[in-house]
Amino acid sequence: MRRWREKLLISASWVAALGVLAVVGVLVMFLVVRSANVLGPTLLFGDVPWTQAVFAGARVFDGIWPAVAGTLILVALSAGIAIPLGVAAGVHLSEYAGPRFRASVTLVVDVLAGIPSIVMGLFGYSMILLLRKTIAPEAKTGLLLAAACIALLVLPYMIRATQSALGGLPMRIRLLGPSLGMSQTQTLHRVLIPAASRGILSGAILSVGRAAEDTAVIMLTGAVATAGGRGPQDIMAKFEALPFKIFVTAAEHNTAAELDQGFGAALVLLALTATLFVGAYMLQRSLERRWTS
Amino acid sequence: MDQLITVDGLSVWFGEARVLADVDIEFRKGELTALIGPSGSGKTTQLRAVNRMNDLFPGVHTQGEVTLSLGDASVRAYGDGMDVAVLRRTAGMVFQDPNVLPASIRKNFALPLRHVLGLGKAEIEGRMEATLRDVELWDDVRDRLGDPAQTLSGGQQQRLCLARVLSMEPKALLLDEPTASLDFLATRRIEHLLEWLKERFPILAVSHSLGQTSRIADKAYVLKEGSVVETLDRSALHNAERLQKLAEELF
Ligand SMILES: Nc1ncnc2c1ncn2[C@@H]1O[C@H](COP(=O)(O)OP(=O)(O)O)[C@@H](O)[C@H]1O
Ligand SMILES: [Mg+2]
Repeated sequence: MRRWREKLLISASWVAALGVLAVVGVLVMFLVVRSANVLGPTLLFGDVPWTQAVFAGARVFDGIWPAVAGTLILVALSAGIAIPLGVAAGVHLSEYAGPRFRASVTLVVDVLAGIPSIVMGLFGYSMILLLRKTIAPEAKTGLLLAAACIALLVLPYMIRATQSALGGLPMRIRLLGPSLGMSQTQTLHRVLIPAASRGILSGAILSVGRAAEDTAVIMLTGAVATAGGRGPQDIMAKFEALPFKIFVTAAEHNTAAELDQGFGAALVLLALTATLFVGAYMLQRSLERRWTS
Repeated sequence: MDQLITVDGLSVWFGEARVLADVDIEFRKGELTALIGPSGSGKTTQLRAVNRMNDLFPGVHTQGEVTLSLGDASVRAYGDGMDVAVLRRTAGMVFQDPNVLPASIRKNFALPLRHVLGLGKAEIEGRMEATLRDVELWDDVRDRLGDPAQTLSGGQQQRLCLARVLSMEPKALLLDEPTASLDFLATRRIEHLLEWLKERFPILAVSHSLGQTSRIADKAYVLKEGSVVETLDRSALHNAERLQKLAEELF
């Protein structure tokens, strides 16, 4: 009886695991099939040579390169804001904060994590309205505002990932540094953060993925369908981004070819996040190797 | 000058709970001093009071004094201006379960030697080899210093921890049941090392076994519910009848 149940459980978990693979496989296949006749350099750059588009700032009007560049820079900016802030806040909550402060901040972080991204977009938009009525009549939505709002959106993941990675370390490893005469800061930098790096980095990976795919925030804070055929030139200006491009194409395409390009953009977005994930994973591996050897 | 550590009127509270009550003990170079008692009697807390590791736990409160007379002058562990990092380096500690860093064998030495003592590469390698030889581990690990320390056996890990502490050149040792998780042979190797180390500095060792204590200790304090209830000298430690009675009382 017991063995039978065990077998059932094992097969159920196999089915679940294979099911996930199958769903992802079908999704990718679908995107590949739908975008098959647009895949290739022209999808990204139209008929402009890619070196011209990437390095010389040539304008690309019938490719998605501007949106790819926009998304990459948006992700870099928001990760650049959210990761250091989130790690610092997580370290503080886990290592330095008193229990009451920790409890109240944790509550706030949870509330922040629960805010829908459309609300975060509205918040960014209202900030601009407020600025216009008060100190900066010239203020308008743009890349920096979008990056800041995306950063706010992913900040709670970063904080919680850091906090729980550090909080989950066993007491024995916490005692080790001090027992060898390390200061609290040395223990934190040399022992605890490296030991928790896996958890912290998986928070960063989640954040980057979230930043790359979010549409609701950027459509209210500066993303546009066409921004002059180039990637972002100015962080205060409007910009193109892949998820918004896909959204607009899906909603407003005129020809079947345009729709195919939309599917191509979706596939590129998927490939982009996959590349970011692999990059983050390799970074983590090399950091870990450097720490452990 | 005699090298010794004295604990005077030490009481420790965790929150409201008084875990140690007015403990007086002393341990000196040349004698292996053991601390025995049932589980929960406060042995670990007593050990951690010497190098102020208890301070790392929230809600802890300590009263009394620990005096270390290990060189020309005596210093008070709980005195004003005591640098706890220096104190913890002076009284090196080995934990009950082998506490290796989840990193290479070499890194286990390099991290404290470089960041705490500020030593350079050559000096680190030198101390690592010397202390690994002291604990008779060098021949086992010399070709695999880059391997994760967790790949060593429990006994080897515990000797690594001992070597790591010795490489910091402490002036006293605090050992918390260093053989509790080891098999018979590994236990005997550590005991053998202690016989030799006790001639170098004062050692206070918590032991879970009366048999072990009678085998290797020169003096033993018996803790019960946070108080020292008996002090055993060498003749008492070899008195089978008395040990038998103690075992019945305690465990
Ligand atoms: N960090 C701590 N917080 C609260 N209570 C503790 C802590 N450490 C130990 N105690 C309590 O102090 C008592 C003595 O513990 P300990 O010194 O570990 O005993 P032993 O090492 O003899 O088994 C136990 O009742 C234990 O529950
Ligand atoms: Mg104990």
